[in-house]
Amino acid sequence: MAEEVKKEAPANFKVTIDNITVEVAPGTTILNAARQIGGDVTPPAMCYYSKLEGSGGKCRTCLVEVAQGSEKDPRPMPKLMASCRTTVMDGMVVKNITSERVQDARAGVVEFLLLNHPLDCPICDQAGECHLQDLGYDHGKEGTRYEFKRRTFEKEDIGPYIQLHMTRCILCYRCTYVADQLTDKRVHGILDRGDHAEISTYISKAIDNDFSGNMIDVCPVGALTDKTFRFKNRVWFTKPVDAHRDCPTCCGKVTLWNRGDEVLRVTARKDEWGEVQSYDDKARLDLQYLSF
Amino acid sequence: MKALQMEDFATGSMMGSGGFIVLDDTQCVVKHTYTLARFYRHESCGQCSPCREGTGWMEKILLKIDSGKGVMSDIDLLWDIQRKIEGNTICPLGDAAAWPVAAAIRHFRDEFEWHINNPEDCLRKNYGLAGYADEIHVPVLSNE
Ligand code: SF4
Ligand code: SF4
Ligand code: FES
Repeated sequence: MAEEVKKEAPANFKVTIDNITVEVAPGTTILNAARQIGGDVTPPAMCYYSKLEGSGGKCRTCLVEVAQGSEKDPRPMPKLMASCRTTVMDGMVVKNITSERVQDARAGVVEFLLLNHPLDCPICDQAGECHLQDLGYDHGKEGTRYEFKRRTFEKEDIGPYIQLHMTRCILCYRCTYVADQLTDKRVHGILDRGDHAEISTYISKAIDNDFSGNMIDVCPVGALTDKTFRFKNRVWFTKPVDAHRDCPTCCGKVTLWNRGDEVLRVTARKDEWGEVQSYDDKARLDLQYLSF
Repeated sequence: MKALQMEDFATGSMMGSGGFIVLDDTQCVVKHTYTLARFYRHESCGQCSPCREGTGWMEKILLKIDSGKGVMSDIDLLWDIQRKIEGNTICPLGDAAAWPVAAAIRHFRDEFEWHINNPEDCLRKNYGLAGYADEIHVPVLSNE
């Protein structure tokens, strides 16, 4: 019995997403299989971050319909599945943009994410590189049906490097994973639960870890922004230039954001999915580069 | 006499986790739906967006209807919200929050409409269409 399983294991799984078939290794998630195909077929992901273990499953923007569970068991899955947390099976048939149900549910999720969002893009440093803006533009509906007062939080200062705007947070939990997995000691987290859950540092302790700049990079919205770049310029006026920084602890891949000859800020370099390129070899971009 | 069985609840209503609440016809459906929505808003852990945001939204709309400030489109809005929560959350709490609202609208839509058409009565009386006996005295509204 065990031998049989062994023989089958190395084979690649065939999965069909929106009528495009791709072969992936067993254990791959639907989202990553879709990323291998690329383009419109890839569901948006607001909370999943491939480099952060345990991330995903929270925002529900990546929901897809599984029209056929696998070759062996062709039954469809009754509920829409979070593609970032569902692994593929051999012969699985997935519908993303070809499914009305998915589009409808996704529009719903976008509406929920924006429900209590301040939408203060004109004064938000994230504007222009905000995943929520992109998501709203691609999948959202015009106008709001929410007529109540939007949620607000007490302002909290979390240190000299990072600016926290809790009202803009979508509670993707990425920053807490960064703190857990990259920094020595996590000093912030999610307090409370339900609709009053918030990001906070315990006893308002400043986040001044060398690696906490990563939190700014993983935050998909303008909840965590770079204090040293605050209100200096708009993202779309600056020009990204790839650069390298000799650094013993990180991969050194950075992007300089220039306006004319002036370098206005430095960030980690992002890939097409908006993720920092690599944390390989414990590659970490530390905050020191921000204050050069 | 026949024992109560799961099949007896196959009316598009919700048996939930096996527990049930019996309400007689003197009770206000809207008020009870609001109570359930309030419970689920409070219990939501806040991890996933449909439940975190949706439960609070439904609660606010139900309170609005119950306090005589609702409009007709609120009923369809509620229906749409519960539809977008159901099945899209990480855990079944989202489903459980959506079902009572769906069941109430499916079976007692007239009760919701009554609240919207009779904004003053629903502030003064603790019931909708039901024949509940006691009136609530709302000091602001009474002219004495
Ligand atoms: S986080 Fe994004 S959507 Fe929100 S205010 Fe900032 S730019 Fe706008
Ligand atoms: S602060 Fe940003 S990274 Fe952290 S949970 Fe909120 S949206 Fe996600
Ligand atoms: S990316 Fe899959 S649930 Fe957020």
